[in-house]
Amino acid sequence: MTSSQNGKKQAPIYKVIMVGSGGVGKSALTLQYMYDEFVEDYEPTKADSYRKKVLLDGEEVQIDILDTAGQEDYAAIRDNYFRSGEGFLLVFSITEQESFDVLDEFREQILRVKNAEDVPLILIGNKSDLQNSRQVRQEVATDKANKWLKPYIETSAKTRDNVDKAFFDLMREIRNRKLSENNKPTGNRRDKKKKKKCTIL
Amino acid sequence: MPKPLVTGISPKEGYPGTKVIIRGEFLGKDEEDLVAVIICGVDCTIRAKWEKESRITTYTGFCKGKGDIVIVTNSGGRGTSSVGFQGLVKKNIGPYEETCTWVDEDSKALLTGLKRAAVNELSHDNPLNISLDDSSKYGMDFFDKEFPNSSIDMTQENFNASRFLLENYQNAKFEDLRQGLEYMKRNIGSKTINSTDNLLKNNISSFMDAIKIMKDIHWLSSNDKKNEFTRSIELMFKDILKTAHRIYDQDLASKDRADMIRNSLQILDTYKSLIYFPQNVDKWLKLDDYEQIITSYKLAKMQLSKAEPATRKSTLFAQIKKDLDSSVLEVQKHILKKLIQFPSSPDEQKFLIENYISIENIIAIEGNKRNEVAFNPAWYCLTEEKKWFIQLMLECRDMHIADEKVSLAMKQSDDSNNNNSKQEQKNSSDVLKDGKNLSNNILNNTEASKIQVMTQIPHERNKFIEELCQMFFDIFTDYWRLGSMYLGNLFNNLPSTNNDSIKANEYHGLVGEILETFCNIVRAAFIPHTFDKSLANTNLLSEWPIQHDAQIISQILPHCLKVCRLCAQQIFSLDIQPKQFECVKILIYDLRCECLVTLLSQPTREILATLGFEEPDWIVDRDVDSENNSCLITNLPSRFEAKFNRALSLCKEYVLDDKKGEKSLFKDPVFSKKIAMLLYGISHAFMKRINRFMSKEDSLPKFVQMSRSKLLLYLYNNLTVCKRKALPNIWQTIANHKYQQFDQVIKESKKNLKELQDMLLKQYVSEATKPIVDNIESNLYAGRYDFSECSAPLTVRNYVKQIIMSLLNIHSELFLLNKSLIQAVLTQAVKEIYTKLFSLFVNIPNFCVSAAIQAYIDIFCLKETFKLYTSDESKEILHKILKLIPSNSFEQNKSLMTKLIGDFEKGMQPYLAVFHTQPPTSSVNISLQSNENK
Ligand SMILES: Nc1nc2c(ncn2[C@@H]2O[C@H](COP(=O)(O)OP(=O)(O)OP(=O)(O)O)[C@@H](O)[C@H]2O)c(=O)[nH]1
Ligand SMILES: [Mg+2]
Repeated sequence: MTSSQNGKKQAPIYKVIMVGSGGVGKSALTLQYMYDEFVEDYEPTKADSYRKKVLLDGEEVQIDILDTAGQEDYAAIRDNYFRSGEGFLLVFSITEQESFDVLDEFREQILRVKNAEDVPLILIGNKSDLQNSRQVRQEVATDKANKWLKPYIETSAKTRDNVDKAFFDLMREIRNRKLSENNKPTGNRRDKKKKKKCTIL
Repeated sequence: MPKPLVTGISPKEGYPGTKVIIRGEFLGKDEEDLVAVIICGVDCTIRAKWEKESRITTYTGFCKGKGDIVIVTNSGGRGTSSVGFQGLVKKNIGPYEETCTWVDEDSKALLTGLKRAAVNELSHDNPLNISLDDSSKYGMDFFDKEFPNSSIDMTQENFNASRFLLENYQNAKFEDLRQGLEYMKRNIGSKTINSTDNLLKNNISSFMDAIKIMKDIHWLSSNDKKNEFTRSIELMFKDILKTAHRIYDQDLASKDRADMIRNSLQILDTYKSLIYFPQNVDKWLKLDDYEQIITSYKLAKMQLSKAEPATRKSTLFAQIKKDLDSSVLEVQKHILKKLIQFPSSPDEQKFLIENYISIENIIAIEGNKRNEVAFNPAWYCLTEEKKWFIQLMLECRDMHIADEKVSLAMKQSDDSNNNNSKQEQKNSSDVLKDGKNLSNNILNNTEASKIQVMTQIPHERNKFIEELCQMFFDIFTDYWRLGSMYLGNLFNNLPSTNNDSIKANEYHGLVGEILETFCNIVRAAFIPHTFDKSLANTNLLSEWPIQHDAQIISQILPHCLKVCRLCAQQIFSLDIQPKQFECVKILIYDLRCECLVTLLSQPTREILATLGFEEPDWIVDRDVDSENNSCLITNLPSRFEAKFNRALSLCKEYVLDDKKGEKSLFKDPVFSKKIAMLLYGISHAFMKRINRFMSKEDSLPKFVQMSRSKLLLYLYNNLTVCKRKALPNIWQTIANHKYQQFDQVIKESKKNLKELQDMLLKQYVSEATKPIVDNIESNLYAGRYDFSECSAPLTVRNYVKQIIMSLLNIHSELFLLNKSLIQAVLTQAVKEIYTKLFSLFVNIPNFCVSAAIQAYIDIFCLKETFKLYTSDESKEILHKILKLIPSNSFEQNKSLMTKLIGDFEKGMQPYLAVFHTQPPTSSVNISLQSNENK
């Protein structure tokens, strides 16, 4: 669809997926990033899609954001969505311990669906403007991120704090991943295939 | 303005009728600038709502597969999208599909309606009814280039069939296309039946406009008075109008119904999680997972509060809300029920209370305001726990009353058996004179009696007080903790109220009631006479079976006091208010007073009842005083001292020391006086006991075999020792223990003792000398001795020797038992003997010479023998006696007299030596005369 209108030079697409429990602010972050607006009301998401052109380090790219449902009701359909993602913002709310506790499950689901040991992913602690009702200490979140060897960013969808940083950092991660996959891993993959053939023979 | 660009869609997929939010840039300057919203090729303009330049909402139509979202504005033209919508279709068409199109009746809508009026059934998105191609080989660009200025909209003039087929049915086989054509023909045929209606329906706004125009024409022409001109047209339009209204009404009705159903279904869908709420609540309740309930409830509430006004009106919504609220009320009820299940710990209670309040708070969000005098679960818990607590204490008491009744009955049936064995025991313990054997036997015997006493102790009451206090303390501590939380508003989420002082008062009222009940139960059990029955609650009135047995009370009271004091100390350390604690304080004070009285009455009773009747009391011992005077005593004084001391040490141990926060015992002079009297009573009892043995009011127990005179001496000695050792020891202890007003007691006791000793001595002397004195007369005239006519004297007469031998007996008795009495007693005896002799001699009418000589040497020998025991008084009497004897013949018979006296001294030498040894000096003198004079 889009491609048909931009016949000349296709800007590369970065597919970002918002993951996290219900009410942690995935949609809020997305809308803030996309449209500079903050939505006070909480309306559970099913699956929303956003795409726009941005400049990433001087290069014109397209960011495609899939905002998924945090509510357990929609858990079953997540697999499908995760599959198409290239990078993930794993969001929890610093005011809700439980949203932090379930992160491991989300991460495992992502890795399982992507069938990979590592994917571009950033741990996002949202609602940093609500310091007073903080339940998850920064060190604890950083610990978890370190364990995963992933960055940790605290954001506020309300004040727009670190919102851009979160998305841009993730896009950079995706870009790096793509670059390295285009160079070395292609060889690797072939190796793997050859190996497989060998074993069959 | 640039071309519209759609960059966001929420949600990105859905069934027909899904509400979608479209975001992007340049989506129209205002409502009117927006011309069309097309999602997946389906025109969704009619329900579209322009919100701002970056945001439009609408509902999707019937579309299948993925498609673009195209916005058309006047200012920017036809736009593009970077995101697409995926239409989902269910096999059976769902309730979300619009059943009709609703047209706003205001003029603006009518105008736009006019613009869109061209739509008819031909615009059906799949008129051939063969499968649409999802994947087109060609892009839009291709079509725009190949078929410039053409459209695939059948209603448009520039409709291009080739383009239409290529775009939609690129991959269809020719056969399929042919069948499609057949289908289309059929379809059109069937549609014509209702075609006028459909035409009207689909173009209603155009007709409405037409009517309006006609009206205008009519009005114009009527002005020209050419009515007839429009008559027929007017009639026709009237007809059309009627039909239009009919259709309108029909549509209106079905639309309402459809809306209602759709609305309900949407509500059901939106709130489907809430429908299961009651069931889930049951499940969570079983797991005590209140947190889950609260978060779910909060979420549900939030969800409900977001509902649109239209939704709110629906009965289904109301039902869901009602179910939600009622199941939450059930939860609250459940919590309350759990809350008053005792016993439970304050933490548990806090947990429940906080959960209750959390729920209450969520409920209150909607009600906006909270009732000031709202139900407070903590208070409810406190009052209920108080009731339960009091009931528990009463039950504890009743249980032990029942137990005591049973054990009492059992004891009574045992007693009849026991009596027999007791008898046997006494018989078997034969009296043994040998001291060692005696004491051995006694040991065994006391052991046995001790065991007997032990079994008689009513353990029941002791068990009761232990249990009661333990229970009381445990529960009360918890209760107090809950109370503190309540007063300190330490529950999360509870809005603080400002009537704290009222709260505190109410709470202290509860605490007071509990303490009061506790005190009353203890009172009724241990000091029933201090318990004002008229004041108390009726359920406090059950009586304990054993009530007035002083013996038993004295065994249980100290223990009760100890346990109660411990308990009170612990309660006191809870930082309880003095006012509420007052009743406990008074109880403890009363218990202490009562205990002291009981403990101090005990030895008095014991001394009067048993002292002197047990074998150990009569074990003989030698006592040596500081001047090395020794005397023989029995165990009576030390046994007395032991009993006294035991009582004092019990008092000391259980009662005397004031503990923290306790009322001082001897502040009350009346009470101090009473205690002093009891102390006096104990020593008085001892004297009384001695007195009763002395006066023969009580006879000696059979196992004591001693002569009357020995008994008197022993008693006397015992008193001496008592005065010197036992009493001072006791008084020292009493002073050490800080008893008040006991000086008088000491004085009185000393006086009593002195009097009693005097009486004993007097008794002894009179009992010892009486037989001697009584015998003198008969001995004097023994052998029909005649003073007027008798033979010459051969030796000192027998009566003299008798006197000497008798006094020798007394002497030896005294020498053995108490040497210090020899001087006094013998002096007295001698005096009485002389007095008697004098009275006898006075009555002798005449002495013959031999009788005179005889009488003289007799008296002389007595005088010589007892010279150390002759008081001045006695000397005088002797003198008088000698004067009665005619002395005229003495000169001639001097040699005979000297010989006879010499013979006597020689013959009686060993005896005389006894009397001629200086007796130990002592201060004892017998004040018979003075006493009698008094
Ligand atoms: N104060 C504050 N509120 C936020 C922030 N982010 C989100 N919220 C609020 O949190 C609520 C939920 O936010 P959403 O973005 O809808 O949550 P979500 O993660 O998309 O939830 P699901 O769609 O159900 O998965 C909304 O009421 C937001 O206004 C934030 O950074 N600060
Ligand atoms: Mg969301």
